[in-house]
Amino acid sequence: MEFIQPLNLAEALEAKDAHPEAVPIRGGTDVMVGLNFARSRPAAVLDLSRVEELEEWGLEDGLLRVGAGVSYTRIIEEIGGRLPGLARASRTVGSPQIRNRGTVGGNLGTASPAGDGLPPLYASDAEVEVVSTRGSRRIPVADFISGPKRNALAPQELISAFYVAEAGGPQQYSKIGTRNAMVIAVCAFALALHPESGRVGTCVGSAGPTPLRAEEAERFMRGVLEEGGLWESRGAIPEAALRRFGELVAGAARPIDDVRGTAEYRRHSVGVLARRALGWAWDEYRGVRGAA
Amino acid sequence: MTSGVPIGVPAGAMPPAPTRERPRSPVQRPGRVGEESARIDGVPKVRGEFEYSSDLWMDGMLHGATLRSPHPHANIRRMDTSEAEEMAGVHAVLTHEDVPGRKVYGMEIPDQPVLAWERVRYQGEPVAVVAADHPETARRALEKIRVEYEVLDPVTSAEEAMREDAPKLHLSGNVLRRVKVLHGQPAGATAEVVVAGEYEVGMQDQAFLGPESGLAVPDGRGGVDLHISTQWLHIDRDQVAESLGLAPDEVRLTLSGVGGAFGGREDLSMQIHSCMLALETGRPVRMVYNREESFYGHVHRHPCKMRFEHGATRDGKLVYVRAGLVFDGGAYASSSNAVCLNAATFACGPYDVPHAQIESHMLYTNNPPCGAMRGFGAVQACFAHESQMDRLAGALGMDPIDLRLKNAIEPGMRFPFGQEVPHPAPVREILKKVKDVPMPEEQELAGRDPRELPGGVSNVTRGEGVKRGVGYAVGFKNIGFSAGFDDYSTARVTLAVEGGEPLVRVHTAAAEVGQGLVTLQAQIARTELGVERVAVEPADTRVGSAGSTSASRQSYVTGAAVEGACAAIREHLFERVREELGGNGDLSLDGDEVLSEGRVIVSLVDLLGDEEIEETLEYHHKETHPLDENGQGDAHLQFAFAAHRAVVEVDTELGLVRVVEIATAQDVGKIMNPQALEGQIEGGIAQGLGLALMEEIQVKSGKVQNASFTDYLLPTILDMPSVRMEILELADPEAPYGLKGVGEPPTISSTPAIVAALRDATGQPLTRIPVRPEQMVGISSKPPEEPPHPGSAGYAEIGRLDERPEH
Amino acid sequence: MPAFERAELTAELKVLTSGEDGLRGEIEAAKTAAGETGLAHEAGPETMVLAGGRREVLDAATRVVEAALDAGASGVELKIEAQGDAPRFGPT
Ligand SMILES: Cc1cc2nc3c(=O)[nH]c(=O)nc-3n(C[C@H](O)[C@H](O)[C@H](O)COP(=O)(O)OP(=O)(O)OC[C@H]3O[C@@H](n4cnc5c(N)ncnc54)[C@H](O)[C@@H]3O)c2cc1C
Repeated sequence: MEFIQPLNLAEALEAKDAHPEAVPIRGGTDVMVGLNFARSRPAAVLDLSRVEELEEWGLEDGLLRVGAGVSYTRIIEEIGGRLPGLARASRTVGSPQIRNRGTVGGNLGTASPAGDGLPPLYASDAEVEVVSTRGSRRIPVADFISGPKRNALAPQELISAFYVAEAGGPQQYSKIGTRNAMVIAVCAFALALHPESGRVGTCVGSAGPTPLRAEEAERFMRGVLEEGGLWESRGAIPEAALRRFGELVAGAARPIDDVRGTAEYRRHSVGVLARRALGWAWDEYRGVRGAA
Repeated sequence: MTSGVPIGVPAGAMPPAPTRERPRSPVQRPGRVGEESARIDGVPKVRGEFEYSSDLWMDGMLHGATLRSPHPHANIRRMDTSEAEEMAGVHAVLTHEDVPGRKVYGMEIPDQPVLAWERVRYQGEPVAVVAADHPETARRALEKIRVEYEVLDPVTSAEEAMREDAPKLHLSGNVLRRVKVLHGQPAGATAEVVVAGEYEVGMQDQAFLGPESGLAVPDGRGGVDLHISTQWLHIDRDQVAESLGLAPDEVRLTLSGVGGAFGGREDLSMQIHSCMLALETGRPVRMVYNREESFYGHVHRHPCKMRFEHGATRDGKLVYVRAGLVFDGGAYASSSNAVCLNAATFACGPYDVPHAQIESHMLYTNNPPCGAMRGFGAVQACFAHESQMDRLAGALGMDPIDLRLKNAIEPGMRFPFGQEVPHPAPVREILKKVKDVPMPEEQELAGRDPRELPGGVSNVTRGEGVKRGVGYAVGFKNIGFSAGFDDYSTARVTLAVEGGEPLVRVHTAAAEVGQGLVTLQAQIARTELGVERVAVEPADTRVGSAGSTSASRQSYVTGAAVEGACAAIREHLFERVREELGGNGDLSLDGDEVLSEGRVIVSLVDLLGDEEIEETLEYHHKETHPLDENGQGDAHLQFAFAAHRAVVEVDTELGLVRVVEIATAQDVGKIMNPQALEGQIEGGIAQGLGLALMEEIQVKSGKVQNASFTDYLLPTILDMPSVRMEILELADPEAPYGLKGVGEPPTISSTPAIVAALRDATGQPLTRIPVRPEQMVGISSKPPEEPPHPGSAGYAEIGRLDERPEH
Repeated sequence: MPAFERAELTAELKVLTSGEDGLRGEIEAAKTAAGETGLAHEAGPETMVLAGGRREVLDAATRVVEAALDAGASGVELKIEAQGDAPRFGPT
């Protein structure tokens, strides 16, 4: 196995161009598991951990640009205030060690339907920036993730960053697991309220071949909020509407039975999470004490 | 840009016949029996400096690897190792034809092939072994071994194995053992109130963190030294020698650092394989399983289906118990026989049952072999009898604790298997104690730290749907080996002046597996000989057998052997004192000195001079007896009792749980080392909690679905609550210091107590463990029809032997 | 053989086949006969072990040897081991 360790992005892109078969590794928390279980035996590994450009984040044209190599720990500590949904999701990832090593870039690279970093990106219409020696392109995250453990990356490309708007309203992330920490999601739900546009962003995780937006639920709730003038009045969402929202989210899931849970349970619980998450987010929007 | 070198650098030239230095035994200054005494390996373990068997290393050593069957049931048509043998760096490729001695092994029934010949009976069964100069080379060589399998339909459950038309997995059929216990007149027994229930226990894994590993070093004269993590050196030694065709003294075992055992290291794993490879190549050979392989490399706790019927009078006195227990033993016998017997004898629980009819069946299947695990048959039985007691209490409208108190067994009564209940048997006391522990205060749900809510950091509830539940259970377990087995331990103790101070050396073959026996041995020596400094020698086969570190027996049996050997030395010293100094009256030892009537008369340094006193003692515990055909007999040595109360909070809409607190009362006879005792109780409860809530090896069509810690979930610190302990010290007059084994009872009744609390919170019947969220919210938890396809919910292909990419 | 529960007697039988590879008939016959005794397990391609009380093992061994010979085996290697400390089966 060849081990390539570029020291900056330009070198990395050249290396990837020369060795399109090389497997990028950043935190290694997915790649090393694959190697240790002899799942994969790549001819070459491209270590991105020295590439400082991937560690950067900042504001760019009104959007946040977060480098693919920013760890979950740093997202929580440095960007948590601006991206509370992603920060909540990051807190549920693995253990402190995994959060110190693991990155959203790696989560995008793996493209697991159970990736906790992904649903918050869907709920906020994030875009993934990919680069090669030929230039860069930006792909909406829902297009970037093209299937279970598949993404739109070309062999010569690397993930450089993602772009996402700073939270304009409350955001939530909830995840079901059969133990209370360090667990791969049985299912999950991300929510982002967008008061500026009147939209409600959603995404169901780990209950389908890819993360899935619950579009019908989003339309329904947008309608409820508009109709009742709730954005302006900051009045309560009727209980029945919360329940309906939960049902529509459950309906958007496309779960299966597996070792972690049954399809029926996934559908049921993601609906419960959606109802609760919306309730919490809306309370926070209304300024109810202790709701954040 | 730096460009790396390929991994897999060839090893250098072969060094001269290597030997491994005998590990040194550090000197301890232990407390006396009963005093807090920090474990000597504690700090090195926390610092990462402790040498586990997976850290063993020798210059010039080779790396072994094992080819395993991907199929749970198949005939081996052909095997071709030539391509693997020709690979550079490969030193040996061995199959069943190369096993020099007996081709099978097993502790009770030697029915398990060292390497399979015609047929494989479980997924993961070893078929060939390889030694190479690099672990990766060895791994690749495995892929070059061509095995042509004729895949057969697997027998995937005990029920299926019992059927007339089931394929016979072994020569004498699929029934491995049947134990019947008949007590009173169960046939005609009737009762005013009858409750029946069916219960199921999934396959739990010991999940020790240190994988199977060891280092075999050829001695150049045809024999071999094996450094190994195991629970019983001598039974390993005997089995290894038998299969190598060597005399027992040509195979020497030394205990290496053991990273947990819990029963999973009683059977052999890589012991014979590594020795075969070492003898074949003339080089030291190290084998270390990885996490996935470890799941295939050791036996698990038996899955079990149980049907129970309890009859009682209207005022809550038990009249009869009828029970059928069906265990899935998997492909080979391991210690299934004894598990089957244990379950039958403990099926009624620690209750006075006038009439009982118990049948316990153990079947061979093509599932992973099952064997010893902490609790050993009592765990499964306890889940059923305690669930039944709660059900009965419900039917009677009685408080579950009152029902248990009313029926608690007492010294002088007879267990359903005929043995008299020895004194002390404090079932009532521990039930009352655990009930009297103050309830944890009910905190406000709103505003809590998420880690103190069901779901923990996953942010699923702020109190919505959360209900509290409380449950109780009591259980018991036999300590030591039963049913006529001559169960003994050997201790060699020496006393001499070293470095100007007296030093006691204690040498036994007893395996320290993390429970603290090294400290305990030192405490005993310190107590008996009044000597400050004690060194516990590395356990090895240069001294006689200590028996197994299992059945919660080492403190008792090896403790007694060390005590006895020390007592012999003490006698020897006193005799000398009387002869040389004419001392008379009450002699004692303390502070490195001999005292008479409490006054120092001579120091040990002066008394001993250059002399070394050595005593070896073999301690055999009281004889036990096999059960007769009606399941009657004085089968067990000692009984240990514990009771648990669980307080849980369940998010009843999601089926997620926070265990708030476990309270326990346990009779330990004598607290030998408070900290070690707490460790056993907390650890045992954690393992019981795991079985209640999450720990299960999922097997579908004979194939393991979750051979990894990604999907075999163990409780984390956020799942494990604080434990309130009430310890009773009711001395057993026959045991050293009055002690009772403490390792297993915490695991046994903690599980049913938690499940009872979950039932209390959810109102669901919860008859299968581990309880899944599905069951708690009332969604049928039918097991998955199809194995998950890769990527379905992420990472699902990790830990799946059958899903390996073809090479 | 080391064991938790020692058998009073163990008999190891190895069937010697007359001809080439693939002449498994003798072995199969011996294994079937061994299986019927209820005391047997396999211990190699041509080998089986009977374990139990003294009388039952000796009787079973005779039956297995006969079955093998009847099926055309050229011989049967037989090794019998007694375990002194096997109280489980009592005196027979
Ligand atoms: C114990 C444990 C617990 C875990 N728990 C969770 C959890 O709770 N939730 C969760 O979502 N995940 C979990 N994971 C998985 C993993 O930590 C995450 O997927 C993490 O985001 C991966 O990031 P990484 O930087 O370590 O990726 P790596 O392992 O370095 O890479 C992952 C994939 O992305 C590719 N890649 C990485 N960086 C780039 C790049 N810049 N350009 C192109 N491709 C790239 C790699 O080639 C590889 O395919 C866990 C893993 C472990 C070992």
